[in-house]
Amino acid sequence: MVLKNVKKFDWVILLYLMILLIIGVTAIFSSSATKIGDNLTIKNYYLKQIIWIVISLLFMLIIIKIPYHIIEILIVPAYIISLIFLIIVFFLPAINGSHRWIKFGFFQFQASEVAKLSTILVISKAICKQHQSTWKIMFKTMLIGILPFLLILFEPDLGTSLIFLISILTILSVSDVPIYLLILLISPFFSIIFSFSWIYFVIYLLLLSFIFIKMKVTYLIIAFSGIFNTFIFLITPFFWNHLKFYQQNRILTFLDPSKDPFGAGYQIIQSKIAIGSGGIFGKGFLEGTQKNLNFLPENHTDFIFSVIGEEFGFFGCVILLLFYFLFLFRILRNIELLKRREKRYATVGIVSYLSFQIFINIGMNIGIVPATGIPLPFISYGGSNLLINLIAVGLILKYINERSVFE
Amino acid sequence: MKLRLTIFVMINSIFILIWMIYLFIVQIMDPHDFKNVINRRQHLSKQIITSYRGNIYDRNKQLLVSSIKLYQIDIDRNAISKYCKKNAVKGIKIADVYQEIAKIISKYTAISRKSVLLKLNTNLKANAVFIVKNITENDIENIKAKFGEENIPGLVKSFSGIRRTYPKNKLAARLLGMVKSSEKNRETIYDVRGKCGLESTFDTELSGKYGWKEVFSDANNRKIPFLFLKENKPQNGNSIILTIDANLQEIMENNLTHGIEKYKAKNAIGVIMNPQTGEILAMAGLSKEDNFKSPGSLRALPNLAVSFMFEPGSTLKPITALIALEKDIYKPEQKIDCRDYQMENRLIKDVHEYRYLSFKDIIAHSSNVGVSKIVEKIGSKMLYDRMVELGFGHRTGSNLAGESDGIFRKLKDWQGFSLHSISFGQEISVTAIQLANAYCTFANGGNVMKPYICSEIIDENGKRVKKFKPKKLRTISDKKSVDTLKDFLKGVVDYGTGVATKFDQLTVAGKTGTAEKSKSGTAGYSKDKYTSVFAGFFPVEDPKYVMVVAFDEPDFYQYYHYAAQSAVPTFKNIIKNMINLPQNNLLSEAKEKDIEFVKMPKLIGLTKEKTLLKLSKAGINYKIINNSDKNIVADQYPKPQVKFNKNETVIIIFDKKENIVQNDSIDYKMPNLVGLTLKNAISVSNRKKIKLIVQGNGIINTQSIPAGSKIKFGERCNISATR
Repeated sequence: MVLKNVKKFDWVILLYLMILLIIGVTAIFSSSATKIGDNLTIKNYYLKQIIWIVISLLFMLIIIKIPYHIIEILIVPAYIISLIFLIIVFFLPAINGSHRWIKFGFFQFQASEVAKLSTILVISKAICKQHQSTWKIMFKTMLIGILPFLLILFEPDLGTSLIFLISILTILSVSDVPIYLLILLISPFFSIIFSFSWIYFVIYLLLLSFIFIKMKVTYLIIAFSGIFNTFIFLITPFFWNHLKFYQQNRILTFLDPSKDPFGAGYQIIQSKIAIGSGGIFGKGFLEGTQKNLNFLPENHTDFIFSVIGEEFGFFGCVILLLFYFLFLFRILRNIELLKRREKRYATVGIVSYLSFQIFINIGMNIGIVPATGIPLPFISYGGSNLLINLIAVGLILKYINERSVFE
Repeated sequence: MKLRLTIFVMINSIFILIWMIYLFIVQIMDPHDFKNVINRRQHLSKQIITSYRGNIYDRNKQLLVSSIKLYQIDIDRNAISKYCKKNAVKGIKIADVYQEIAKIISKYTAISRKSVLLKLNTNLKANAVFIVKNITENDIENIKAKFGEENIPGLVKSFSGIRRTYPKNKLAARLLGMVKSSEKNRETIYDVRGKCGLESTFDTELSGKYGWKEVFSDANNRKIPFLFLKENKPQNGNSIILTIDANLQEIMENNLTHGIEKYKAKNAIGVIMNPQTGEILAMAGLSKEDNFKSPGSLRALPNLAVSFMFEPGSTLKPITALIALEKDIYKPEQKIDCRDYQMENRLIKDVHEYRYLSFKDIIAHSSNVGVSKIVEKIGSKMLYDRMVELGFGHRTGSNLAGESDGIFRKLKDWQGFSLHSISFGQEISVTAIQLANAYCTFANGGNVMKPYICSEIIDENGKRVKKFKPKKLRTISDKKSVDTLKDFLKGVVDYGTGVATKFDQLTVAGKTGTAEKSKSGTAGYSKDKYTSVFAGFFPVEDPKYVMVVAFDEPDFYQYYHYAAQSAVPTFKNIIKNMINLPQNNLLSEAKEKDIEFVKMPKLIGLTKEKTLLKLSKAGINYKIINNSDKNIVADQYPKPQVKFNKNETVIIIFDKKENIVQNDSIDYKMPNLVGLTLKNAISVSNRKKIKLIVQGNGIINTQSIPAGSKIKFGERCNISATR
């Protein structure tokens, strides 16, 4: 078996990325324009976005061009710096009740964005060595992941912390960790969900134990799982009370958005109406009435999808989703060719958090997921988010570019 | 690894598929009907514009009733909190803004600062809180301007209703009637309907048609100027011009009020009509309690002049006399035996027993015996027919709300002495307008006119829509007989029962009537309850006015129950006041009699010092009411520019400055004169006691005191007008 030692840049991924970015700029242009009659006013969000795209693409290019070992050296410092950022954030004034943003002059970014990427990279590197015991992998992952996770959770930023968790779990699941361990890891979350009624919880616990027995898991672990989950079940009410009021509100209005049509549920309802009224081909570019009449304010960030849904309809939404799918699928198809496990893990982790961001943001726009403040990758307005996402894509492109290099 | 990766890819694909399916459901199948939601919320909506209800003017185009639009104020608390957030740097706090709002609103409305704050701080979840309603346009403009000055957002103004305004306050309250707005249900279109009086009679003419306009508003309820917004202008109601003369009405009401007090009567009714045309010039019906009632509650009461029925007593005697003259049954100078007349079981007698009276004197002295003897020769059929022809027993056709038919039995129901009773006005009940209309027939030479009160209907721009013309219903007699009857009736005033109303310079004819009231529930008559009536016309040679004055239950024990003691003096007083009015032309012949007439100077608003100086210069005798050095002239009788006999004493009423301002104007604000004709502007400003200094003539285009600003008593305002 002879592998050719050729560097091959995957232009197709870049093409898909560029298409997504163009869709994003178009949507932001429409979102920043208010058209009433023949009267058109445009805010300059789209210009800023274009500038950010150029800057981010430059960074991507730099990432692709610098040798891999330099990046390897940079990973751990990046992780530590991001932790420092996460801690600094707590000492900065809260915006809308949470400590998320760090401001450097005109440029502001979310500390969790940096942490997400660097943590994925560090974990991938830590667990990539072959023939490690499962427990060691679990332990390392926990050790690296728990600190940023908790810091993000207590910012508080529930949505990002969930995505963070999901991407780590994905990494673990593609590594050789046994399934039952993953189930064990996820089980507390279901315990939280089922904690509203002890009957459901008992049923859930029995089901969990049954699955474990079927998987021939040791009784020690089953017992641990039982005790641990019961503990979670008991502590959840306290935790719920500890949640910020607006977070409780978000979860509650998620369950019934019409309960508070002018409060937290307002944007979800408006966005849902916008998308729903789009129809097959939408109302046409710049013609979205929800946006033009200010029913859906600030829709250039988290609710950009509603603009696409309203103005380009089902057709536009499907095209966007299709490009997302092609983009992510193209990356995943290449993973097999990556020889270094850390690259695989990192790629899977990045793809995982991108796809979950897409999933949650669109779910939020169509009113299925609570409003969590997760932007739509490559489309939403926002410099730091775009920069980190493009750096991540740059890394993937770099990995794939060097896929046939023998080690 | 490969398997798990595939699973991961599959999970991703499934997610994307799920969203696609969900989007398909939401966008294409549209189960929540979002397209409709959008249409409902964002489509052009129609805003109803309420029309103005028409005005009511008197015959000289003096405004009697008008309407203004009222607004309500809501405050959008959301906008304020947003504004505060935006300006947090400047240290603007919500509480401060609320304070400021309360200060502004309480300044221009009746609502106190505290209650505004209470409403602003309510715990209701709603963003917009209702503050106050029924605010006039002026006030709302002021408040809006203040909000603009202070840069406070959140003021929401909306239409809340229409208020009828009555520049002349209590005048003709019962006649004009009242309106009621239907605002029970907020969904329905705001509507004002006349409920009684003229408001009800002419409801269709007065009420306009509402209009609508398409509005397009965004999420913050800001109206968006959108192209091609359609608008259907509201059609304002037509105005009506009455035949009523506000001056006569005022004279009438003043005298009746005075009469009620003096004679301790229960009700007083007065009607003045033009006998040649049937126009109703004044129509008043007052009750004892009216003085203590608010104008608003008076307007809901019945118009006594058309609804109150009374036995007319001797005022019906001329009918018998007229028939007798027509048939030549008696000559005017023929003597008739007028001693007490014993019929089978009924004794007819007079107050004073006369022995022999001529036909003319029977009327002049109102002899029941004499009339009974005459009517016996006429017979029931003829009297009945004539009475019906004159309009008794059924409505006059004046179309006034609440008019009653009166009680006049059919001929076949007449009993033994009905003929006699009816001849001198018993066993029959009439309304004042029926009586007045009958006297119109006497006065104009035998033509039964249809009484009417509305002379013209004009649209909002003053263009005539409909003109009502006098309508002759029938002629019932010949001129010669009527002229003789007039002479008889003149005799009543010259030397008979109505002598108290005799004038040197004016000929008056009429007939008194003193009728016992029938006891309610029984067949008999009450001993101390009377109706005292005087019906007459003047000048006799060419009657211009027919007047009926009736007092219900005047005090028996001071002899005010006699018409000669109550109705006749009041009648005379009314004529006296009328003579002084410049437009009446009652005095053409009086001038010949060498009476010196002077024009009354304008005194209202002057200090005592100046008043006395003016009066003494003109050599006028005066009587001062409420004398005090600090006070100024509140009112004067006669009114300014009125010509009157120099020998008469004028009455000057003083009052405190503050009171005058309050009594005389509905709001103490400068009216908007721009766009009015000079004549209208002068009448408007006169009412508000504003002195106008006029440049040019035609339509007014500027005014020195801006509309809506507060004015002081007697302030000067420069206006200029152009053609």
